[in-house]
Amino acid sequence: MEKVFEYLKRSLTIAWKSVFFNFGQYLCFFIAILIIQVLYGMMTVSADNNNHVEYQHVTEEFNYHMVLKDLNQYQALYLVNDEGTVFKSDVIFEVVRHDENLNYLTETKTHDVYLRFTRDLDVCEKRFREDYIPDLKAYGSEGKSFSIETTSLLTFQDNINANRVAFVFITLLLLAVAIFLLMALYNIRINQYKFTYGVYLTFGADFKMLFSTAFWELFVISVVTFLPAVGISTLISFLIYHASGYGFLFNPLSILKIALFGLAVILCSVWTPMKVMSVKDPMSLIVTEDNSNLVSSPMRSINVFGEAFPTKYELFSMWRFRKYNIQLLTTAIVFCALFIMGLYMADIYTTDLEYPRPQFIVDLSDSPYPYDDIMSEELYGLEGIRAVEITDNVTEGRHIASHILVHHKGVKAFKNLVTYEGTEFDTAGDGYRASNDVLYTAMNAEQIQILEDYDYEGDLTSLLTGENVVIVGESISNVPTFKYKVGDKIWIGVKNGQIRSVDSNLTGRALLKDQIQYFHFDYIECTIGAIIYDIPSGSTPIYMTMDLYEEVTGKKPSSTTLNLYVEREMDNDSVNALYDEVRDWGRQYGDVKVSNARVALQNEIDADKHYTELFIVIALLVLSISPLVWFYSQNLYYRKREKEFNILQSIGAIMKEIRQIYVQGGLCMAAMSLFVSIGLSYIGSYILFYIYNVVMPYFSGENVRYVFYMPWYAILTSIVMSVFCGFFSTYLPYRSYAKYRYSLENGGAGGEFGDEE
Amino acid sequence: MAEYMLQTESVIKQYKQYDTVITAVNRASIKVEPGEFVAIIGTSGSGKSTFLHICAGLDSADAGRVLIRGEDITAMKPDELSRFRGMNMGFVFQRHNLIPQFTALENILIPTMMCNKSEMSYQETLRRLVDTLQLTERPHHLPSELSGGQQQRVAIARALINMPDILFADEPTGNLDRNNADEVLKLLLETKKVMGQTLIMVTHDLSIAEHADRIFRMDNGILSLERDYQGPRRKTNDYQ
Repeated sequence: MEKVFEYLKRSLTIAWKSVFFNFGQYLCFFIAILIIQVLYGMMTVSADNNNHVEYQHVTEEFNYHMVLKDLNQYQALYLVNDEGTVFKSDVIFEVVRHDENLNYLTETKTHDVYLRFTRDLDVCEKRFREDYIPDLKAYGSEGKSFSIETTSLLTFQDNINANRVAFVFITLLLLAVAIFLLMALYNIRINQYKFTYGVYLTFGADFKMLFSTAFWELFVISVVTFLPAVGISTLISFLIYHASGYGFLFNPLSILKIALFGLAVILCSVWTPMKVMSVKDPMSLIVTEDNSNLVSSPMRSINVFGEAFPTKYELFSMWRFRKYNIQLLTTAIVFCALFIMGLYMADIYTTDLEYPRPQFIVDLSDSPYPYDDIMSEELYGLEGIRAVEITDNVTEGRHIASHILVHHKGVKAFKNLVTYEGTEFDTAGDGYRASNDVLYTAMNAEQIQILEDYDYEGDLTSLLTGENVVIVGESISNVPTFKYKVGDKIWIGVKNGQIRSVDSNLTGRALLKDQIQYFHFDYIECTIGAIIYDIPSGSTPIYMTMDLYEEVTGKKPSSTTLNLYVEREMDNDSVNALYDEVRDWGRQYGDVKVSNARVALQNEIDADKHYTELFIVIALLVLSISPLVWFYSQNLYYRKREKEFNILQSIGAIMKEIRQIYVQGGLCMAAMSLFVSIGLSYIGSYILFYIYNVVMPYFSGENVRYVFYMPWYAILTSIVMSVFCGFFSTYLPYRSYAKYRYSLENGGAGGEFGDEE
Repeated sequence: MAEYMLQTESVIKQYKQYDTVITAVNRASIKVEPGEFVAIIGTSGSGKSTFLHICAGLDSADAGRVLIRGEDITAMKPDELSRFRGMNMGFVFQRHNLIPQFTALENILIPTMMCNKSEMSYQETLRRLVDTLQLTERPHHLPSELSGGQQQRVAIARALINMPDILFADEPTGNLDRNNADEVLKLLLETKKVMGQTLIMVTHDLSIAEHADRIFRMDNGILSLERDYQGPRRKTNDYQ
């Protein structure tokens, strides 16, 4: 134990002296570690507050865990009197509310009973479903059913667990970014100090020695930045969450988390560079004291594109040091790209919040009345109802062994399609592509209006006026796949027989190929009346008339399940009031079941979690890393090159020419950073877009269509930042060099320039 | 079989420069006894420094073996080799290679820090080295504040502070004028007499090489024995 304390004391003392005697050299690490700690601090404090906000919302909205709707009198009494419980000690719920509703059609009363579980929620729910539900069913009237809805109060713990998983994922992501940053900075540092490490290795330093020295130095820095980081991250989070009106929560455990995170980042960041360093031959490091490790072979450098020697000295230098320049540009500008990705995420989050989702689901299957124009008029007459969507008449092509054929000229991406090689459709020598990733949807005049929300080309109503006219989407799985024009033809294959059945284990394109080969199809020629460009698509939607739908799918269109959309600006209280009105409306038509998807509530919770603001602050913090990399790296680089400039001056170069070298270098870096920042930002944003648009729907099952765009205001910020840093990270070392030369030429000592660091 | 302090077996080192392969060291073999002083002479670019670096484990060989006191350093892992080098070998470079931001004393003590030596263990050696190498005047000066001869003396002290069994010197007088060169050589021989380590020195200066027990010549990467002073000097360690 004594030895451990001795080791710690010695290591910390050496590290402390090393860091503070060379504070200038380590300043960049102070800033970097502070930013990392603040980033993670914000993440962890905001995660606690998000859970707090969610809990506040849920407890405000619900004081019950479960509601049973449309019970008859006996069922309601069974619950109110808790007839299923024998012993008092066995009570698992209390009834917090009991509503009586009059069904206007049958003139009978139905009951809604709201339950709050009194013990462990999972156990209570399980027992309730196992013990009480069968009894309730036994008390049920013939042909009548009741519905069970659970609330977020019951599933709150599951949500918290899901949040924790998400938090771990984000922590890992942030860990990767933080390690990348610190490792990049540390690599810049050791690249400039290879000579010193070469000497250390010559005289016995091993990995353990190099690693522990580096680790303790960064540890000392992280200790110094720790409290300010906790303070700053808490303050930012407070400013963001204070606006919610739900108070601000600070969990002391956050302090521990931030400390551990910082420790993990430091450990990982210095491990790899030091491991790489320790296995090198010392001589290879000692001979790199003049930066030659960054210089490509002069023989090749001189012959740039066949030119003997570039007339511009600095252009030649840019080429000589191309490895360094590329490393610096990509490392520094990656953080600009991350900034843009952060803003893009904020935008995606806002799009997600505003995305139209059905608020109420109406089930008319137990009602003697089908959905008709009168019902439609009544529903649209309720204040707040924006759209009514019939969801019955939707059939996946692959489920009925149907597919579409498209001329190859109408195809943009072949990924989800197969080449048609069947014999039944007359291809006349042209290539046709087939897809069974299609969703046939029957439409009437009312439903067509819903499509007006989307970005479309053509005449939507042509579907009703023309013969076999369809409205189509242009994508599969949110990936633009078709390049249709209005008036183009597509052919819908309807199965009418088969040579033999196909392997039931086949899926996707293999299944479609076999179906085309072994099934018989009638092909219905359809004309494209309109194309919708931004509709979410798992399978590509094909809208058609009720008649055509019946012909293609063999199913009679029905209208028993409705999705009701409400006005976007409605708050949760108004939505709840509207919910009561819709239920009241349903009672005119018998057993109409209306469920509330609680979209408005979820949107309010999500809005109060302030992810958009968080993403923006995080993006800005990440952006601030970029200048750090620029100035730290360029400062060290040009300090090394001052010997070169001294030699140039000793053989006749005047200060103006030296300035030109610096300025040309700065302009080159600025110009290159312009292109690199646009390129990396585009790639980064597209990757995010692809993940959200294509990859995530594959796992979550929910399709939201995000529009790919370059956030120009962010890109402009990033470009300005990169160009500014590219130039000034070169120009400022020049100012420093000029000052040194001035001092030297006017009788001063000239400082330490030209010496090894 | 007698255990040699240094033994190399067919060491080969090649560099590839574009399409040409240059053999810097071509099957070089040597056996050096403990306490021996061996000089390697040759023209610039003959491969003598490269061979010395390989012998000291500072550079890797493409083929062949290097044994120090019977231990094959070419088979050692990087960390193992580093530690072995720190404990058993010293190295003096032509360009001193002092760390510019450290003082003379700190530079001397680098090997003790790298090998985690306690202060007690090297105090006596430090005192002897400082006295022998006449470094008492400017121990707290930076290398840039020292003359070339003083810098090289600091470099010698750094190489010897861990009391290595074998000292490699790569043209230690190459950057010095005649007087300083003679002084550094005298000091090297004096410390060798005091501490008794084996000395392998690369030089192109024949007058310095004349002080060695044996002189090898490196010519286009091929090592050959030039002269062997068998007899009383080798036996008595009388180098003066």
